[in-house]
Amino acid sequence: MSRAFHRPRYVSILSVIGIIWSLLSFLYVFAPAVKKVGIWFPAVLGLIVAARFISMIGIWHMKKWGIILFLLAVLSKVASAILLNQLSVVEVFLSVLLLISFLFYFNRMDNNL
Amino acid sequence: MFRLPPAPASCRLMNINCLILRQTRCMLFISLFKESIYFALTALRVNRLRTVLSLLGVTIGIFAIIFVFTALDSLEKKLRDSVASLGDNVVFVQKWPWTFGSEYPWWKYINRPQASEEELEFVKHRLKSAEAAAFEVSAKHTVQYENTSVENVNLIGVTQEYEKVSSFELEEGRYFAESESVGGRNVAIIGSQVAEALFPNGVALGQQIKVFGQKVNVIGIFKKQGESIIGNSTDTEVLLPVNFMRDYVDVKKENANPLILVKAAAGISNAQLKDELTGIMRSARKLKPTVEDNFALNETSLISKGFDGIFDVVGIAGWFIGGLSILVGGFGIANIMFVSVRERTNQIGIQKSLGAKNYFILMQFLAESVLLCLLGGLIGLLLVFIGIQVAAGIWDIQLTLTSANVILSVTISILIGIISGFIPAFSAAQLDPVEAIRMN
Repeated sequence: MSRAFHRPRYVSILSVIGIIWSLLSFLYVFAPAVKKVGIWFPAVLGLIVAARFISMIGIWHMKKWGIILFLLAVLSKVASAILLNQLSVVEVFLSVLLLISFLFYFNRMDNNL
Repeated sequence: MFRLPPAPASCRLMNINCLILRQTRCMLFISLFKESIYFALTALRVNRLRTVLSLLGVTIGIFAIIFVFTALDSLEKKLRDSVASLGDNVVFVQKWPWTFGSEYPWWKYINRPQASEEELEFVKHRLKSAEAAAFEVSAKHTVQYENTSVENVNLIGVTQEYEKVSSFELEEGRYFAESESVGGRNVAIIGSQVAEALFPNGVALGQQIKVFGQKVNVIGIFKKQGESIIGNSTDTEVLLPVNFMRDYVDVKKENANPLILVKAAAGISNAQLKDELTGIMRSARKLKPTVEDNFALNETSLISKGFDGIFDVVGIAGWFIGGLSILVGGFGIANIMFVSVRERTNQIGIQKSLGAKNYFILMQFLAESVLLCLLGGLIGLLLVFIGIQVAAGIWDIQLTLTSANVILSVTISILIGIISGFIPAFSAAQLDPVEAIRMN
């Protein structure tokens, strides 16, 4: 990797945390409580979790699309939580914190796939 | 290779060129997608043994989760149907409350009086929020017809208004007439299983059976309900007028399980009915204001709530075990995809050197991973289906695979395919073509 796309240790740690968080969230996707919300909800939640996981991979590789995808995943999760009246302030706060942390390095990231 | 004509000055021609370019890109994407699927299918077909071993983890995980969910959904539906047959707008006035849990304070209830017909009349005269009220007693006894007998039949003695508070259907015949109920005539309505047992080759309606050693005329037969989880199926019941039954069963004793059924009027909630009923029952039993109620007002929602806890625990256990199994299966898929990428590094290098974009390589391996997991999920679903047939054939347990569970299994399969296949696919897409071709 060229010096311009060198991954800071801070981003490495946060990406790993994000990947583990996504994998654990994936388990929750097919919990009985999620199924009760609606037939469609596990699929939507699963897509959001998958998007978050993929975005973390992208951020690990210092790709801009990683941050953009993470932002979309966070917005989708917040929108679905608001629609279902299940907004978790802690989760939103953590997501926003992560997003802001990554945005500091946005200009240093690669444009390509 | 397709070349666009040089863009002329006019805006209209520029727009047309953009449209052509967009359409070309769209068609290109579709053809690349089709090629990815083709590559994936070829890869899975070439290494059959490896394909089967890889998808086992996902298959077992999907089977575990979906089978548990199917069993739970079927049991829950059966329970709700059984509870619904009791009537969700009916309140039962009894001695013992319907509570579940390890701590049941039976010593508080043991000295309570039983419900009585006099209290029923008292309630009927004063209650304004009820549509109907009836009295019921029950006992288990043998029912005979000539040389055939059925033991342990549930004999239910009821007042005339029972048909208004309880939801049942008659296959043949009729309900009791007012004179038959009041006069305690020897008439009965029998359940379908009782009818089949006593009259296997003949017609039950109009026949005379023996109950408590007395001849009783069969005037009706209940419609077949099937097995009930809470044991209240009419299939094994015989309905008699309570005034007939009181000659043979002491309706005031606990053995007879006397209770009053009260059905709420239209637009009245159970809570409102219970409020009014509490006041009237306290008045009927002359309870002082400082004394606690010495009766229980039960409703069917209590039964559902009691089972909810059990279903939740079983559901969570099944989800946890199945979920972990799927996650482990996903790691297996990821491992195999890394092997696949390593094997085809040369091929990737050649493709890239011929102009293949990164996203095409990514799509190729992602499609293989998703197809592998989808195949595993479908096999898991097939195993669930086989399990359902086995359960029905051997243990006579009816389970139904719902569309929600099928959609869930397909969703999980696709998602685990995307998540486990992305890292290997992405690493393949990032390969340098020169290094890749050079690698053996």
